[in-house]
Amino acid sequence: MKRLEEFFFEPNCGHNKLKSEKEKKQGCSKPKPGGASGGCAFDGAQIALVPISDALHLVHGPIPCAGNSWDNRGTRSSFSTNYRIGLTTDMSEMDVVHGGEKKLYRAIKEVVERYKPSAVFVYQTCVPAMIGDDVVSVCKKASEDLGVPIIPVESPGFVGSKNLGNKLAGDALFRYVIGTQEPEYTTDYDVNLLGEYNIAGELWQVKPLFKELGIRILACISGDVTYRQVACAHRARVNMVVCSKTMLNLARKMEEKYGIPYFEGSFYGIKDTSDALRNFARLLGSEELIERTERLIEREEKRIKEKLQPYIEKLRGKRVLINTGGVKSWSMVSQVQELGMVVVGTSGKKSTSGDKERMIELLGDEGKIVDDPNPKELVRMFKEYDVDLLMAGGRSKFVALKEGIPFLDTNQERIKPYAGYDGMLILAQELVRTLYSPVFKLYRRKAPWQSL
Amino acid sequence: MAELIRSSKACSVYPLKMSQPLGAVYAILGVKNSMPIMHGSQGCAAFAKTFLTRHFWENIPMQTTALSEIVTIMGGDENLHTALKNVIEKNKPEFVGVVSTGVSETRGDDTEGSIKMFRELYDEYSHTKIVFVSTPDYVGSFHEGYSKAVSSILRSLLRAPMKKSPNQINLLISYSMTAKDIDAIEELIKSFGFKPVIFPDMRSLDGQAKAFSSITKYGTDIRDIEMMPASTITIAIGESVREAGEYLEKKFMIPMFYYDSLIGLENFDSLISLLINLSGKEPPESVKRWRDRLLDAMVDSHFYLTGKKVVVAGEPDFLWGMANFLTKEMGAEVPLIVSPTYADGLENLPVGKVIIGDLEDILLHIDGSDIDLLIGNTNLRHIAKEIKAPHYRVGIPIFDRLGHFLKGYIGYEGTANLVFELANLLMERDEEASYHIPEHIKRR
Ligand code: SF4
Repeated sequence: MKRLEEFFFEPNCGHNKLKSEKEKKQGCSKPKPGGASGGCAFDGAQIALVPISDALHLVHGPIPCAGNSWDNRGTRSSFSTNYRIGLTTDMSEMDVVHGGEKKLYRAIKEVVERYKPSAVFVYQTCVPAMIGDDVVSVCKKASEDLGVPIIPVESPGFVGSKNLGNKLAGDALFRYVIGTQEPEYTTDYDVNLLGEYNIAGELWQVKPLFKELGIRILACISGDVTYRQVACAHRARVNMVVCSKTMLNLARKMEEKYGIPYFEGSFYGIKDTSDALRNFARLLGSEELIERTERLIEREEKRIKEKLQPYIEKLRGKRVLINTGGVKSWSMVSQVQELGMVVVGTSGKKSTSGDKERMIELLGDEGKIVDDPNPKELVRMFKEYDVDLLMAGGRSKFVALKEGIPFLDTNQERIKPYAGYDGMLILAQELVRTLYSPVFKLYRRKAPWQSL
Repeated sequence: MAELIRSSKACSVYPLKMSQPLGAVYAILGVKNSMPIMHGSQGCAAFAKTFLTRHFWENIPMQTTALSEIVTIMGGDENLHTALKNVIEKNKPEFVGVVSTGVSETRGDDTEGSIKMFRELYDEYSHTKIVFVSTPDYVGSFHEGYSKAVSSILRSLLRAPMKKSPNQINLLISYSMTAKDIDAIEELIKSFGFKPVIFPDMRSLDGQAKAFSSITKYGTDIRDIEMMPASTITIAIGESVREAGEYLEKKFMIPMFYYDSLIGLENFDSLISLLINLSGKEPPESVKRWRDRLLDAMVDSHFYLTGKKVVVAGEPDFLWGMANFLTKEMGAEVPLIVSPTYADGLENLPVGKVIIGDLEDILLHIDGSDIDLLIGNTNLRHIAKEIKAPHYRVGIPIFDRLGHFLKGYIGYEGTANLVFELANLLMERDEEASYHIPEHIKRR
């Protein structure tokens, strides 16, 4: 796993720039024994690749890796349902003693014959990595024998966090997939999105905008995408990195090898959506496109602001605490602020120094940056900051609900799309719905026997 | 006698199996003021935590020893000791259950020895009970993990025989029972004048308002577990706790009464007879009323269930009650059941085939016959879609329905609920089908 070191030297990762030499060697933050635990590298790799929907995703290892996680993401696809089939070699004790390579080969053969996929991604997990199963060679052989691309993803969980897993996935795509096929035709307006997972169909919220502008999304890595689209992704003119940290290294490598410029952005909120479109127009370098884009932005902003007005009246001044990771912790801040709400704090967890600068700028004096609060601290903050609503991932959902604080899921389990202009309206509607639900008042009501 | 088929596929497709550590953690969560620790890489615990959170809609206490690459290769006790220290100091549990995983077992850890060493090194933590359960991921399934944890907890917490307390009864609870089921059996046993010790008491995850806690707030009190040797009998419900019951029988001479399930009329009749004999009392009026209601419910529902083909999939404890009730009491046909793991006696169930395998195996073994109803966890929806059959959700995980843990399935009342729910699904389907216009009529 020598290659791993490379990932800790991401020159463009603001997080790494700030570290001392020694810290860099240690890599990104280590999980603490007996502390709250996040997902493993395998989890991260799966998140980034499973949305390649016409491929099969086969997990090599004992049951827990796939068994406890298959079909658990909110990514949606318009191409195929292959990606929702849970597949694993479910290694037994015998396989651990004798090695699992033969079983893996047989497993690949079985599923290729039965499901005829465009490709198979094979995920390496901890136990087979520890006993030395050579997944790369098995995939190579299977690929030659079966005539289908079989892509090894070396992502045993113990190498690190979910974020590292995202990067390993990007690496697998760069080494084995991108550039292996050619599109039927190309246009001057072909682009890729990197780090957009089409959770709850968010990609579909913004796709019509691209279509109207005549910009073709060659590949969305990875959300609602086919294997072939990813294989052709090297022909794009511009890459947009939707999640700043994890797909950055893929963007950088694609710039180096194929000369594709990239920018970082987000589709959360009116301003960010407009900025993203502007950046595309600018980098695609046509005056005519820039002009058309401005017109579209003007029209869309006007349209959505009118629609939002009645909601903003209900949301104005409500106090929100945001506890979500990475890029979302600032992109969601601006989104919520655009709705007239007050952000009393956001989490600096998994954020780069660049993320943090943006947060400080956005929050002003009122808001605090909090570092990965544990449940007890969260409860304390609800009271101290007089919080009306928590926006967070599923992990803190029940901390809020138990305290009678309305909650909005911003993670993969959400089923409403919040991206783009229309996503803003959906977000506003969801916020009003939960904030004005009568249940929270009743929740605080004393039981009959308590007033005796 | 059913045909027993072990799936010989190299690839498990639409997996049904859940890991051993997950089953062990489930049992540990049934102890009051407890915290499970998974001895493995961080991802194992994260997946397990998310999985159970989605099932219960509750925060699930769980920690990890967070073995990372270097530690994984080198071995050593440091991570385990740090995790134990952190958990005990921060969360102040009374009980910590350490479960191993594929990672720590492949590494060859002597976790039991390491916990002993921890005990010797840190006297200041001696008030917290620590129990180890060996659950490599590559052996068994949820069922075995649960079973091992229940036995391990008893073996390590129970010491000497005790003076009998004539009214106390041990109740060993299967993972297939819901909070409502546990309420029902507790109430019943109390109504006969006995004091039950319920273990594991999964009502710790039954949905509690205004009560965020980082460890379990409810569950079986450790002091009650320690009193178990004083009971006069043990009632064990579910194959997963049979071994624990046998242990109590051997070690403390407590006779065990074993039920593979308390779903259905006969099973419950037999339990009631036992309680009548033991107490010399009549059951309360409400129980008698519910028996009547159940009989009525079964008669009303038979129109929809008798003769229907039902496939059941799940961990073993879910299979016994369902298969027996559907076939022997409702006259349905169960052409096949699927279990992720073998358990003693599965092949004696009155079904066509017993498949040890995954959910895809249903598609491979129904041999083109029309299935009227599928019973199993949320993941079974993929198969239901494929064969266009109604799907009743029972099992773990259920993350596309709310409230399942507060529904009853056992006893007269619970069975009545179950039979109505099944019949309603089929009634809807039969009704719809009857409005279908045949092709030759359409063409006219
Ligand atoms: S940490 Fe390793 S064994 Fe655990 S879930 Fe992740 S890949 Fe699987």
